[in-house]
This record gives sequence, C-alpha cells and structure tokens, in this order.
Amino acid sequence: MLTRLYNFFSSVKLAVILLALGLILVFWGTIAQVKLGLYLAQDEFFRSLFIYWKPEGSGLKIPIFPGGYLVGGLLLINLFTAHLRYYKSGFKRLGIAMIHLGVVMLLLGQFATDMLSVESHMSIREGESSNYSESSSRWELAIIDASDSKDDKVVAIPASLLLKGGELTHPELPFKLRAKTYHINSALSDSSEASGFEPVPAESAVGRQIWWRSLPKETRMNFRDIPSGIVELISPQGESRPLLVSGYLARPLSLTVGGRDLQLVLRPERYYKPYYLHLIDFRFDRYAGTEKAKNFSSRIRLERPDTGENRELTIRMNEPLRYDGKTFFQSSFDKETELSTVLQVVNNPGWLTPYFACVLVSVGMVWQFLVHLIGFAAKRKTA
Amino acid sequence: MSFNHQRAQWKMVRLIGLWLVVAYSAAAADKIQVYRVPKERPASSLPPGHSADDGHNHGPGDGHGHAAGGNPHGTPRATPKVTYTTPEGWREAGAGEMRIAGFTIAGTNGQAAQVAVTPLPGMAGRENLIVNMWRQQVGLSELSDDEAGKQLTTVDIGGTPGKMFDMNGKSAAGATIRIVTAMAHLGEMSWFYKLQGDDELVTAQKPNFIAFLKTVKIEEVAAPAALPAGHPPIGGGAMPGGGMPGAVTAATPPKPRQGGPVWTVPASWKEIDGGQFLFAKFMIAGEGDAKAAVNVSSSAGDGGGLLANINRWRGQLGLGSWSEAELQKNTQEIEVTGGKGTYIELSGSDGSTEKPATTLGVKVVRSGSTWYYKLMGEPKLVAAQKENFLAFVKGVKY
Repeated sequence: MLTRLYNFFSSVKLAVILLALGLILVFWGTIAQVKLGLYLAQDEFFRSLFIYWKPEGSGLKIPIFPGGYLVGGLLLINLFTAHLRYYKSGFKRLGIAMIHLGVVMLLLGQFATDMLSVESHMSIREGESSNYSESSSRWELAIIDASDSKDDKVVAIPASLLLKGGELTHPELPFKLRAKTYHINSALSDSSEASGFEPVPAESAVGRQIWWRSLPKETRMNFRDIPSGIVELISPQGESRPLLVSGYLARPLSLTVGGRDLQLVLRPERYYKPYYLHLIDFRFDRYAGTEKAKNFSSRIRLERPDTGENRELTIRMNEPLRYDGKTFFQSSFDKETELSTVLQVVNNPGWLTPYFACVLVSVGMVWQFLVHLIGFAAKRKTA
Repeated sequence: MSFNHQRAQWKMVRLIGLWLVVAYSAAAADKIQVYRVPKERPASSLPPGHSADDGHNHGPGDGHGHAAGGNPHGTPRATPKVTYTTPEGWREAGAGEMRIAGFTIAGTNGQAAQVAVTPLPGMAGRENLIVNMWRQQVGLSELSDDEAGKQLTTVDIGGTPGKMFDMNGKSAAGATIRIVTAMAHLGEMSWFYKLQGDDELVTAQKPNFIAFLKTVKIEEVAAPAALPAGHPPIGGGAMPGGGMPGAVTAATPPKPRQGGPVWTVPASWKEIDGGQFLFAKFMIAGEGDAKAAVNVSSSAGDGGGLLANINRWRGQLGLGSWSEAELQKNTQEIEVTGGKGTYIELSGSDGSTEKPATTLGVKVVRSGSTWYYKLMGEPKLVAAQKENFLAFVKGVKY
C-alpha cells in the first residue's frame, strides 16, 4: 500500500496532471475576478483546498475542483518524493536539484506570504501622527479600557468570531459576550419606511429604533463591506444587554462596567507599531499648466519613543519606506483637500523568497545547459 | 524494495503529515488579542505655519479618499460639527443615532415633512444604489445604473458641488409622498440631506431646502486624546441607565437644547444629559436609595411602532412580549395638548438592579414625529410621581 502511494506521489504523470490543473486554476481564477473581485477570487480559488459549488438556497458546499492549496501542496509532495526516488547525487545533476529547490522555494514562499503577509493602510493628516494602520477587509470588535491615564488596554475580537456566533469569554473582559447576529455587509436606516429594512432588535438604540438590512458581499475593488451586528453583553449575574455594533457608527459606545469605563466599537482591524509617522506635508505635483499627475509624495517625520529615533524622510510613488520589516508605499491621498496621505503598509516576511527562487532556478538551468554543452563538445572533440 | 526506498517512503508520509498539520493550522480560527496602546495623540501637534483654523477644509473623515470612489481606509474618530441656517417654518428635531441634525416641517393643512442630515462612510460611488433604495420606498421600480445616474442633478451644498434627486410615489400606508435627497462626499464620509413627507408640502419646501443646503458648513472637531478626571463621557454611545446591568455612571448636566416642545418640569425632577439618543432625561430621587428616571425621545415617522417600543420596555422589566391584541387591551387614551396620547403602565423587575420596578409610558404623535415619554423606577416612587408625570406630558406644547 505504502509502495503504491509512494509510486503515485513520485510519478511524472501526477506532476503533469497537477501542472495542468494549476493552469486551469490560474485561468479560471483570473476570469472569476471579473465577477467576484480580486480578494474573494483569491480566497475561493487559490487560498482553499477545493473550489466549491454552492447551489442557491440549499446551504450546501460541493467541492468541484482542487483549489490552490491542494494543487500546490500535492505538487510540493510530488517534487520531494520524486527527488527521493530518482535523484542521484553528482555534479552533473546538481542543476536539476537547484531547479527543483527553486520551485519548492517558490511554492513555500507563496504559502508563507499567504499565511504571514499583512496589507493595511495608514491614513495621516498634515500635522498629525499615527502609530497604527488599518485593514481594508478585516474588522474587529474592540473593547477599550481607557481608565489608565497613559495607555488604553484593548481586547480585540476578530469579526470572524462574531460571524461564527456563540459565547465569547476572556479573562480581561468583565462580561461574557454572545455574538447573536453579524452581517458582513449592511446598511442602516433611521426610518422604518426604507424598503427591505428590518428593525434592529437591540437595545443600544435607546429611545430610537434603528433599521438595518444585510447587503451582499462587496466585490468591487474600490469599495468595501461595512458590517453590522448584535452582540449581547452578559453580566456575571446572567443579565444580558443586546447592543448594536456597526461600522457605520463612527463613535464608540461608552459603558461603565464594574467601575471600569469601557468603549466598544466595531472598526477595521488595527495593527499598532512602536513608532509614529507624523505627516509634515503631502504634495501632489502636476506638470506645469496641466492637471496631469507628476508626483505624489509625503514628507514624514519618523518618531520612535523607545529608541529616541527622530528623523525626516520622504515617501514617493516609487520610493517606499522600508522600516521595521514593513514597506510603506505612497498609496492615495484625500482628493478633496490634498492635505492627507494614505500609505499602504505591507508586512511580508517572505518577500525575498521569489527572488532567491528565481536565481536558483536560473543558475540550475545554466548549470544543466553547460554540463550538456561541455559533455557534447568533449564528445565531438574525441570523435 | 530496498532499505533506502523504505526510508524514502516514510519521509514521504512524514511530509504529507506535516503538510496536513500546516494546512490545518492555517485554517485555524482567529484568536482574541489583548494589547496596550498609548492613548491617541491630540491633533493639535500641527507643524509651524499651520493651525487648526488655517482656512483649509478639514472635512469629516478626510484623508481616506481612494482612487475612483473613495475607499475608506482608517477612521479617525472625530465629531463633525455642522452649521447651517434654519429656514423659516422648520423646527429642530435634534440628532439621532445616525442623523446629525433633523427638522420637522408642518404644513397648513396638517401635512408633515421631515429633514434629516446623515453622514455615512463608504457611500461614495453608491449613488445609484441610494436612488434605487428610495425609489423602492415610494413604490417605484428599480432603475438600471445608467437610468439611475440620469436622475441625479447638481446642487450646491455649502460651496461644494453635490448631487440631488427628487421622486414621488406612495408610502407603505398609501399616502402620496415625495423625497428630495441631496448628497456630497467629503473624504471618506458621504453626507445625505433628505427632505421627505407630504408631496405638496415637500414641493413647496424644495426651494427652502436648496437654500438650506447652500448654508451648510461642515467642520471636524477633533476628539480629545484623554478625558480629564470627572469629565462626562463623550459621544453618542453613552448608554442611559449606566451601561451594563449594575453599573453606575455619574449624572451629567444637560446640554442646552435648541427648538423642540415647551414644557413645565416638576420641581422634584432634575434634568441631566440624556446622551445622543434622548431628547431629554430627568432624574427623580426618592426616600433612601429609591430612584426613577423620565426619558423623552422623539423620532420621525412612528418611531418603530408602539408595539415594538412597548415590548422593548417590557423586556427591560423582564416581561415577555405582547401581541397587538394584548397591547390594545392594556393601553388607554389620554388627553394631551392638542390631541390624544396613548398611556400604559407596566410592572416587573429592573434588569439592572433585580429590584421591583414600574414603568409608565405615553406616546404622542405630532407633526409627523412620535414622542415617547417614559417614567421608570422604584414602584412607590413612580406611584408618587404618576400625577407629576401625567401633568408634565399633558402640558407639553409642541
């Protein structure tokens, strides 16, 4: 049994089938972006073991095609197993080993990027500083204890846990929290007359009823989902209080629980840094006499309290700031006032692996070519 | 099979096992995170040459306008301040959880209309969705994106070009209504100005509405980084009744109110800040630690309906929900200034103290708005205050 499995996983036939499946997957996933948008297509086609067919209204998920993780994982196992089965050491085959290692590095590097990389945005207005960036797609329910005069203690509950529902507890919370309803994308109204809206069965709208409706997940690149949900706070005595939380409600809900002043807010997931970026000036340079963009740049002062670092730098369109393992790109700005900048913050620990992989594959191919060339030339000479 | 191949096979098995473990951990659920962060820096750290009132328009939530549609990234928490000139005949109806300002307009023949100013993030580029949402509300069919776009005309909103659309149709109750909506995008925030109500009155008020739009000015007031000791909590999230069950919050003085009804407050009632959601709030202290509170709220339309509100009050007293028939059986009509109101009494136990509690409530409909008055507290104190409460409600002049 093990031998058959070994032969199967190390077969060239499997490698060819997997490469063909990979081709179809890339083509299909690219076309699907038209309907699903980039992020949803990435999740459904490439960051999954299977592509599922979900018949409308049935709630079923039927796997119909292998996803990126399955094809990539099997390809990795195929490469390793074939290497164990067929590889014979020697400098003549060193090129083959390097090519395989390069492909393995590409696959593992992409997996590491998927798992570890975080993309977020930092918005700063001129004259202001920021020490955090925010996710474009992930949300969190933040419960903030602001009673300390210096620091805020934050308990951040990822929205994925709210979506799952059920009771959530944490030693830092003076109450249990029951996630009752969560709409990934939503609309709120303060009128009962808006079509398709239902009253929010939560007490947070004290003295005023709020209506809501669930909206389909946003697939357009320039838009994002704005979620709303109901969480029920349950005191140790078992009393409960359902509260409306929503990305539309810009200000946090203030609560006093057990003598602690808490704030509760549903917000884009935040990534705090041990340093501040202070926007001195944002510039949108145009070609003289036209509205055509010449350059976007942000003059920044980097302030790091723990090391005393304090220096000025400029982030331009093709000159990002690389600092603390993160890359800060000039991404956007406030088009109304041109007084604010938006930096894309990319934290990708595996960003170098594609470069190493490509170098390894190239060197391996050159090596293999030279081995054959030298062998061929030597044969011709002796003949 | 050689020894080497057997070893290779077990290596393969281990590799598959490792891959499964990695794949499983990759799919594992997110976890709750706890961390400490320094309090947000105040926005006053402006560089030399800039000041908070430097003449630039620091619009609400600006700084997040993304390419082609303003994808909002980041949400600096600040309180937008809106100033405007109120047209003659418009009455301030206060702010709501979503709207930042509201007005009611009464016609000469009993018609009513409302105006609401509501900021919403992330709505830039969704104008067609908005048009179709309101079309559905007045019983009109949805339009294609192109057709919906043609409904939009340009309007001046405080010096900024905005979009406006106008439609009329039937409300769910069959009345002929008209909706005029204007919108403008400032940074990540979209501002909606909606005039809605009786068709004839809205048509007559449309010039006033357009004149009102021209006077609107929006500026952002940055929230302080840290509140000084004893400072009342900021913002609309403040929960009357002290937030969680068993919690206690300090009473804060009321903010000065503009417009609204006129009333005579009984001497033993002390007005406090009701937060963003209440029009007014009064505290009543009795003997010992007996307490009661009067909440006054107002909303456009029917405020969610009497049944939903009464059932919410019943929930606060640990009582089950009523059906419409039970509601009818347990309410009575009372005379109030200029008409009738609906009165109810409920008894149960206060969820926050687990002590017996009584609620007296009155619903009054005036000029297209619904007013709810609620007295809730310790039963003996509420019984003693019943006369004061009814006299207060009956004497309100709208």
